[in-house]
Amino acid sequence: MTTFLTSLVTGLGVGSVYALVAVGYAFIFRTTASFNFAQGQLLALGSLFAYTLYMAVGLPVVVSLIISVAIVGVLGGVVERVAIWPLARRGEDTLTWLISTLGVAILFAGAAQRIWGSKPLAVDNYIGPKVMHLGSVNIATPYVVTFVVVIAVAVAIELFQRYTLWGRAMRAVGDNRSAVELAGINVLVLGIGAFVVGGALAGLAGFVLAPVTYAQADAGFTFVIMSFAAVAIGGFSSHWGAVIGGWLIGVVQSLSGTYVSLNSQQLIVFGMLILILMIRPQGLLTQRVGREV
Amino acid sequence: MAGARSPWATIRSFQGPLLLALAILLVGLLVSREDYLLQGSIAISFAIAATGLGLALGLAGEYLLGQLALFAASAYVTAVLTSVHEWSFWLAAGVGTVAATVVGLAMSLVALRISKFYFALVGFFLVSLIPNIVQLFEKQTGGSAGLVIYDSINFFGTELETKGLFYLAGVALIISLLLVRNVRNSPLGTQMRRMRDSTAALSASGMQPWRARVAVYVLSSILAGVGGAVFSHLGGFLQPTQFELTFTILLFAAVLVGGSTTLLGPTLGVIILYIVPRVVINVEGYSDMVYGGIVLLAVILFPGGIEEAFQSARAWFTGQLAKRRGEEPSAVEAALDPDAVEEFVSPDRLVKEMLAMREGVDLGSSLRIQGARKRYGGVAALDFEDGDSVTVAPGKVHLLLGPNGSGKTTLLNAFCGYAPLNEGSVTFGDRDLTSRSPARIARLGISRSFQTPSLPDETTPMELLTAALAYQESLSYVHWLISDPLAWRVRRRARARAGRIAAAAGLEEVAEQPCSQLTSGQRRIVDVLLALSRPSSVVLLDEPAAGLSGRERKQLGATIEALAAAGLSFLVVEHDLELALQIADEVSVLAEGHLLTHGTPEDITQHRGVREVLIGAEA
Repeated sequence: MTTFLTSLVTGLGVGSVYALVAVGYAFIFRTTASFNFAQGQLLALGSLFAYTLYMAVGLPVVVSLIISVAIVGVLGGVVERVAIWPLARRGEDTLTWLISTLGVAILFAGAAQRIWGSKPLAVDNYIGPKVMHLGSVNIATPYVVTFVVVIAVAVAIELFQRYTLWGRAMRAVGDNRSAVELAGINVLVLGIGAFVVGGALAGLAGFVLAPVTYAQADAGFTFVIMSFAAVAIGGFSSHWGAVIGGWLIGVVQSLSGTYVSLNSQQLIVFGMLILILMIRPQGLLTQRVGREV
Repeated sequence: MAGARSPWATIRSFQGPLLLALAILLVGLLVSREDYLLQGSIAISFAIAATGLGLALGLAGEYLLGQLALFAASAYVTAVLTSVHEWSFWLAAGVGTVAATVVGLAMSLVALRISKFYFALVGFFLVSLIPNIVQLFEKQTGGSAGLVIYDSINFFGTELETKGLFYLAGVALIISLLLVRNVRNSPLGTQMRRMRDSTAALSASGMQPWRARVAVYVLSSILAGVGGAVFSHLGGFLQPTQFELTFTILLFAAVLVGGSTTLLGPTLGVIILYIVPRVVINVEGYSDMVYGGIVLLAVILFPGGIEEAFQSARAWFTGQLAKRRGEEPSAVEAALDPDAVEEFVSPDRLVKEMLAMREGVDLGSSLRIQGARKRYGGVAALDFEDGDSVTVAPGKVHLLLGPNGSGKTTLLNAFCGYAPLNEGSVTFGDRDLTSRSPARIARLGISRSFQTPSLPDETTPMELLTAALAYQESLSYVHWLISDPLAWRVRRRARARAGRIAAAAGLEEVAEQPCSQLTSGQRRIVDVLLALSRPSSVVLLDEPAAGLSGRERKQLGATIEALAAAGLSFLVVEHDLELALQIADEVSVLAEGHLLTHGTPEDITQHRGVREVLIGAEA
């Protein structure tokens, strides 16, 4: 029983990390209908900045956090400027954007490896004990933090999209771009904004996670793949779908690691993704049908 | 002139693979360093897989990010069979290629269900699973420690050394290129391009889009398999790290850099991205960054690849030269001028061709839609009363009128299966068409043109017409792949007929020009010709006269009238009332999805309600 619960709770923790990146995906997708391949790499950068600022320079946690998230958010905006904007202006389809953001992702990964090397870098725990005890279950504290953060972020996005003008514009622009333009909202700014927020969320996830996974330059692609699976299962334009998808994948991955084998984890997640997509190609929490993304 | 192909053109279409074969031979003769030859062989095996990727991307617009997984599957199956089970390489390579094809086929079933965008990422996911799958079969594959391959390839009694392997890889690449060349130049390739731009346009030609897509997947899987089988025996061992995501990116970058719309582009891309960093300049350690930067730059700066960029640079340069010399516009430009030729071409020859291909076709069925209701979300696009019907009777021209948004195109789509009805029925003679697929309906003898013609930019009207005509012979895809005598004959016959049709329609001057250079009127004519060039008994035309000159309109009207007199039936949506009312036998008027009225052209012009709807209340 303890094994099962530990596995389940760890799954929720890992899933929260996927969920946080996936929420970023959903946010970006909702506004710009694009998938940012570099998102996972931005997460890795969040961890690496945590190492440099908190460990190497020795700044206080909050200061390190704010600087890391800000830098990674700006880099998210850079991705939009470099990989999306020149193509969008020319009217290239979103599949091309997939490839150009992939290019940026590789570039970032390579650059990070040049700067930080490819060895995992240890980051000390920020708050509380290294491991928390919930009854008989032990879980690394950063996972608990991520779990709380992802719920807070999803609620914040919900409120932002419901009650602020910019939030509503961001929701509307995915459905009808020209209507939002006519309403006097600068769609270009919205696009960068979405990428900055998405990048900041990835940076936040990377920062929080660093004490568990260590900071590693080439950690990005696993997160890209798992978070894509999360957001595809949940439905690409829904942040709640992304959260639930992330948890589902984390739990399935963790349980299959415990009860089947570590090697089959990813395969089982892949199988689940294919199964869900074959039954509900639009994802679990999305209603919209008949429209190609 | 458009009918026959000169032998010189045939030789020229082989020049790429021929030059490459020569280059491979030269490298084999001149280079003696074993490590260079090995790198060359590896690059060639990647080039084979990249060629498959280029075919999928350029011809069909499919993003097969999973290509490397198929490559790895074939490599491992081949290697395990030779080194663990001691099979001969040739047999093992065949099984390895089949294995890759089976995986590709399974993936294609997924692809048919989900969007291209999801599929690209699912492919990426699959590649990331390679180490896990290899580890799962550790006993056979050696897991992450690797699999050592002791045996070399036995070629008629001689063990192939590094140089022999290099030539073997080269031969495999050349054969692959020749096969891909066959498909690209064949009517099948043209149909794939039509699918890339619009699945609706493809199904209107009677071809099931899923069949074309599966054909693309299978073909590129075979190439991934061949590449992987060759790769397996080059380095003497296999390890999951040889199939890292970097190489997916290498393949994709190669296709993007070299250009996916050209035959040799992907090979060129692999040479640049794989050979140059390893042999010419050593950038070991930076290769990821180099690939990333190149992918990004390639997508942003040269969307068509370097070969296309080179061609457009040349076109720009010659254009500048011509401008400086103050030359006259070329013959092509003169032909593009709609006022250049104003003589009326009689439709007789065109009508003769159209009727010739309809010999034996039953022209006696009426197409009928009844009680049609179609909703998009909450909006009713078609809202007929239960008793309301529109019938296209044999030998008649039925005109559909109504203001914008009244449901005319939706009605056409409902007839053809693009907009399945929520309520109501579509019948053709005594057949029920209500829930048939567009391609099936097309094959039953109903063809159509589109409000916005979708003609792939790089194809010519001749290629499109040839493909539409050749497709009617329902030749197996394998004939197009190996380009056997039967395929040659079918294509020659189709080309001859396409040439006559183009000439009879007054398109000789532009028949061999890429569609991107046609005027909107010429594109319209090509689309109408494509609808007519099928053995159909009913033809649905969506605004066929839009963008046409006065002379072309007259010709279109005369052609429709003559074909109707010969027994074909037409349903025409047209805003040019003068032309439309002149050729129409019956008229139905739609307003806001309702069937307002129907009758003869005389009835309709007298009808008060119709005048209000069409011209506004004041008129």
